[in-house]
Amino acid sequence: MYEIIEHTADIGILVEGGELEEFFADAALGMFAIICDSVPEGEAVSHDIILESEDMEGLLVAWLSELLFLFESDGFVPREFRFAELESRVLEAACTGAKTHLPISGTEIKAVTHHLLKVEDTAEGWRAKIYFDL
Amino acid sequence: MSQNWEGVVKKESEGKYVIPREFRDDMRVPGVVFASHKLLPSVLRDNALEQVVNVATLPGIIQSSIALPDIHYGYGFPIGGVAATSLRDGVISPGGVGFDINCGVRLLRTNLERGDVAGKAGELAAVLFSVIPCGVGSKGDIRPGEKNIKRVLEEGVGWAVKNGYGWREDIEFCEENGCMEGAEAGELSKRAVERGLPQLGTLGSGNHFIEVQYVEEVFDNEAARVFGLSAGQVVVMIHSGSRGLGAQVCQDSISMMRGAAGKYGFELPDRQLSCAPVDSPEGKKYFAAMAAAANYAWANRQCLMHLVRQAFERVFGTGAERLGMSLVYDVAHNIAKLEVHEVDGKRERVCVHRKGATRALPAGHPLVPKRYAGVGQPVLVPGDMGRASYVMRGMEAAMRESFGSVCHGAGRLLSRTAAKQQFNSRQVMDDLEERGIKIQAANRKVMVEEAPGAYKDVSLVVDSCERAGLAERVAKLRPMAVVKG
Repeated sequence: MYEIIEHTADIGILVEGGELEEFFADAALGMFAIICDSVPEGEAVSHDIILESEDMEGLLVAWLSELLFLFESDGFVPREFRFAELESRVLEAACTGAKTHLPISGTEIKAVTHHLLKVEDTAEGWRAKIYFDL
Repeated sequence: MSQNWEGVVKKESEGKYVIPREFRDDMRVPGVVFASHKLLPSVLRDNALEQVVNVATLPGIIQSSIALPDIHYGYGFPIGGVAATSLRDGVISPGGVGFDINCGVRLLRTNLERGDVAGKAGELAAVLFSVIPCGVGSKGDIRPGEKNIKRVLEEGVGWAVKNGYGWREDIEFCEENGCMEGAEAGELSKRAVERGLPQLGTLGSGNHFIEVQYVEEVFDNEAARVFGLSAGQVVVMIHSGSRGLGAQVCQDSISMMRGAAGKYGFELPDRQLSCAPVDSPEGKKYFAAMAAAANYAWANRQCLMHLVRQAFERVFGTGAERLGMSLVYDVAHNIAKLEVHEVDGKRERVCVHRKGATRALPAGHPLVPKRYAGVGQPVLVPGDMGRASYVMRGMEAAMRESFGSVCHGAGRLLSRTAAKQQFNSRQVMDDLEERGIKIQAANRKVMVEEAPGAYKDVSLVVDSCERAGLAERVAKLRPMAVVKG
């Protein structure tokens, strides 16, 4: 589950609930809910992503940054995710979605930031606030 | 977020407030806030001052952690801030520059008058919108290719002019002559280069824009004459930056520096202040990559100007030279520069971080173009799209007080979500229509998020800079046609 949150200059999402895989998926869907004004259409494509990082926060930022890059270079908007591996420092996922035709109507995200980023494992599931530079 | 800043800032002089160094144990220098009495409440509001205080803890910071009147909350560093650090024992920080390296503004003249353009403003907006790639994920038509991208990164505006995107005489009127020394294309990641390849000559989105404006009022006749501006004259303002390439350089650099605090024994109150000594391998790598990204942005604004000239040629049926479309000036407002300043009575080279702040040099400064020597460097201050923009000139006090820096624009008042709650795009468009402003936006939503009410009143910001003696107003510009990504 994700929800869009305020920041004076930019924008963020609060992602919470569920297992780690759902959390990472929701973070991605939340980011693309900001980027795309409407559900994008396009040829069905898939991308494999393999990443590692020193910690969970770094992994989350790397994950979203990779998806952002695939969107910018290829118009890729992901919809579904299958994680072959997802731990605190390693991620391997197959993402399927649409290859949209750029430019699209939406909000341009320049980068994923580490601002106030803390990934927490709570009783209700995983949780974090993620801010984007617009 | 509960600090009451009103009790903390102490008025030192007209338009200048100080946060004493003693306010917090880890501050190395005081905080200085430039704002008029009228603007102060909005400065105190969003906790940007906490960030100003955090910046004051940076190793090697000199004199003060500076907040300009358009200050607002950012990531780590506030936006609208300046921090100068010693080259001997000071740090350089990617957060002190921002993701959009060398986001900046340029202004070009025309010899057209408001009356010549008024009837064609809609057509101009439409033609500009069609020739300038903008919107989310937009790609440009000016492709240096892998073979030449290194030149773009190391030559900046020079590359663009050499390849037919602009005139030789544009170079002199760009900060740094459109090319910063020390840029090294090799310091960019493959990904940063990949992102930059298709984006030259693109506007981007968000608060980037191209505006056809007219000079509504001249405040300083002599300075305006020297800048080649007069009442009623039509000018064009371009606001854009280094696009995905710069954002990637920033991101890569933040990653590179994440371990540096530990390595160099720094204790930082906020991880997003991550930094390394200017003189360290990490510091040097960042500077070299940042300079390359800055050059990319200058090349980008040069290409955008080229496209603007072409659009005018199409609408007015005559060449851009005939239309007198020469460059007034181009300024960066997200950048770190190595500059000579007077510190404790001695001239010293320091690293000046400007994030949402513009360099402002006074008359006689060697880096001011010769033609402007008697007046000072033009400072371009874009407002929001409904209100005004300003041309100012740098004053001597800025060198003493703010390392030759002033505000960069109106500064946001409302978050995008709050703006969406308060305004709707129909309202904003009607309001602009009433003022005779023609707008073409890639996305209607942007109009709400960028609504005039979402920003501080730029006149107040400019007034604050003037009261503090940092810069003086030369002319006020009003929009006629706006293109937004």
